[in-house]
Amino acid sequence: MVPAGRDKGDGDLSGPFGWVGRILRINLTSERIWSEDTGRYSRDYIGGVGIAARILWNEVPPGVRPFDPENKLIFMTGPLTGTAAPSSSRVIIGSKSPSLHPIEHSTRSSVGGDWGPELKYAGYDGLVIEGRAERPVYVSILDGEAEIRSASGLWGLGAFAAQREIARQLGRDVETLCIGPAGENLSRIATIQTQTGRASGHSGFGGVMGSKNLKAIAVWGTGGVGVADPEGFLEACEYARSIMVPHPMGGGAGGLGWTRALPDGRLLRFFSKHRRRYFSCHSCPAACDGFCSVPGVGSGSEKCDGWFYRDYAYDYYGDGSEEGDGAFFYATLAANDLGVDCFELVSMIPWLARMRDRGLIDDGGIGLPLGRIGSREFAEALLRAIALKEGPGRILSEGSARAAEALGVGARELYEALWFAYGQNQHDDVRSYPIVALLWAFDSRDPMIDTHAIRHLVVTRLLWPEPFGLKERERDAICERIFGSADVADHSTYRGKARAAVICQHYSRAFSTLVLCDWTVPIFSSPSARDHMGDPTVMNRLLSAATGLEYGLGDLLLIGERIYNLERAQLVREGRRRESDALYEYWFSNPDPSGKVIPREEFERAKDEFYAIRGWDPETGIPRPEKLRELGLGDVADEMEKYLRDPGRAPA
Amino acid sequence: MSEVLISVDPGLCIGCRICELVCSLAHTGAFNPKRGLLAIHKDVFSGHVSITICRHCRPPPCYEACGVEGAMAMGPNGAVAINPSKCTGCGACADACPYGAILRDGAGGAFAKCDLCGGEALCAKWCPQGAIRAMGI
Repeated sequence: MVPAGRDKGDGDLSGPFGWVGRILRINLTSERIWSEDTGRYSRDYIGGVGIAARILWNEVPPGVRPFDPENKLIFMTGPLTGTAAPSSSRVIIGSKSPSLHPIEHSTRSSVGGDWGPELKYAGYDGLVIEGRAERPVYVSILDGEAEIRSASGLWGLGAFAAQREIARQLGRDVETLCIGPAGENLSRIATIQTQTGRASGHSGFGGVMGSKNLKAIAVWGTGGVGVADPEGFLEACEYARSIMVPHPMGGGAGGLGWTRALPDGRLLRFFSKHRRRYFSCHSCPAACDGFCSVPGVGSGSEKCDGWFYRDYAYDYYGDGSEEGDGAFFYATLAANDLGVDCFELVSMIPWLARMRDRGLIDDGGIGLPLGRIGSREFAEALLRAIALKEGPGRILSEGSARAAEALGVGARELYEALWFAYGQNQHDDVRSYPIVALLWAFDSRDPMIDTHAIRHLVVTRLLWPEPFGLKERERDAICERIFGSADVADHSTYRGKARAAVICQHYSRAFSTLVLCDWTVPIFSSPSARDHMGDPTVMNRLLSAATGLEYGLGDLLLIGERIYNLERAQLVREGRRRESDALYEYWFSNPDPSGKVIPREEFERAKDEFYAIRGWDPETGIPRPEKLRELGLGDVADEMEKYLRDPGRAPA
Repeated sequence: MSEVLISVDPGLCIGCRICELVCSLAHTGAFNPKRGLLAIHKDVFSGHVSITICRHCRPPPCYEACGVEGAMAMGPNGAVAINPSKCTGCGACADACPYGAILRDGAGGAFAKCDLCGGEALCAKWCPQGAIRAMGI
């Protein structure tokens, strides 16, 4: 057994510090409600993405499809959730994903706001939903008491109205996760929403909620989250805050000045006219959420959600025009209210436009005003069609990957030029950055969307250090410290990138199990340090002070490795192999603006190196049993050996 | 010890609840914003935010309204504190407060108010925005 945090003596690893101790379980078919000890999982997996991965492995076998009642929807916080740790609001969601393609793999997602902390105040570290309610329901969890309630008056409501109505019904300031019509109608690109613009977007889990006839989960509680060493914990919080990298769109303390540096005049002009205030998630000083009001449209959050429509709207109506502001903001609010994944639309709309330009689709055939992309009417027609699964939405709500298959050869070819893999659309350029290509190749979903702070170092600042004030020698020193080599900053070669990818993966699983926001941690570099050197040990310092168990950074990264291997075991059982650790063919043959494609041989050699570092079989990409055992995953190794002997058998 | 005044600017508040979190830790030993001795109300749909917190009035109307011997005491920094063992829960202090800042504890229902954390005013110290400020006078 690999030690996970060294117990200081009392042997109790699950609370009362950090964790609140119980995971709530609800079966919507039988209406059974029970709970289990968090301690069953927390020693080996801590929380968040780790416990979610373990429950998926234990309880969701390969044959289960995303919309089956047997699929589980797992909401997990971590020991830092609900404390004053900076940017500790997020709750991780694990489930089988309807958006992934072609295999509906198990994967993760997350959402910020105030829901995760409130779940802990209500008495639970996590919540696992299984089964399917006979009729639409929502779940309330008020100070430990969970109840399944009728959602008959809520079904069909947008996410904003549903949250307000639930707060009215319960007579309290509850925090609510809910789905919009897109989730109810089992769109594969439906979100789970909270507040006006916080979403678990990119894994299609809104549809999973819809398939369970579950409209919402409202939580409220007066319980406390204790920490073992309050003084040390506050010191660690203060330190973390002092070295945090400001959010590029943030309005919090310290000026948080990237916004002004971002070459995004259209967004800045919109904010200067319409932003009323900044909002933050629970316990986060970064304030990345701009609360905006636009007359004739409405009020709510704007961050990066609206990127899918911003340029289209201003190109259509004119820069700085009121109509452009209106169409852009309408699209943001409508997507969030209807519960449609904004990020999918970042690529879906240009894909529709390219198909129109090639004559593959026309207005009459698809039933959308394709000549008016950028208008408010187009946004409304597209979003409503997807959310309500009407007209073109019958195809498009399946997500672009499946829509491309339905629309045929030309559509698929154009699709591949905008998506990278697994039905997940492009995020950073896999041709320009070898590390990005590798991170994409091994994940189940877009790996960049829940690792922003890592991404900002390994992509943005390593390539263009100057706008961020990072000097080349400082950059190299940071890379030496984090990755053991400055090679990682050289984007012209795959040399050193396999090891760097492995390290990035361990960090991402480590902070997603605490749970801290990927925009803030792991703090590889810091704007406030003289040499810009960051300090990832802040994560284990917070964890140790919160739980009273001593964790070093190495302990945390080892847990990250365990989680990564467990996730891989689950993917393997679902059919993942070396040949599917791949990106669409397009990116190997169509160059980026600087003329680079993914060099096939180098890429495959880096994969060999990756499997070797990981202790996985390079032929198959399957973790070797001895590696799993070394990581304390002996039972997973046993199960895997049985599965490999007879892939058709039902897991134990 | 100098007296302390609290000033607030809800327009700067980002609704992060760090003030309530550190307050709850200091006064209850655990984190929960509902258990703090100040209250941030944020309406994420309208964008409205209010900050309910004792301003430590001079003279304090709550203190003057309290008719129970020993239920309220004024510290050297000017902070009026409620003694829970003497407080009868009559609510006279809450009625007298012009800021609505005598709160009922989210869990127990007892009256409670800001005591300035012995002059340190953790809410102001931790507010990342300067939306709550403590000034020595």
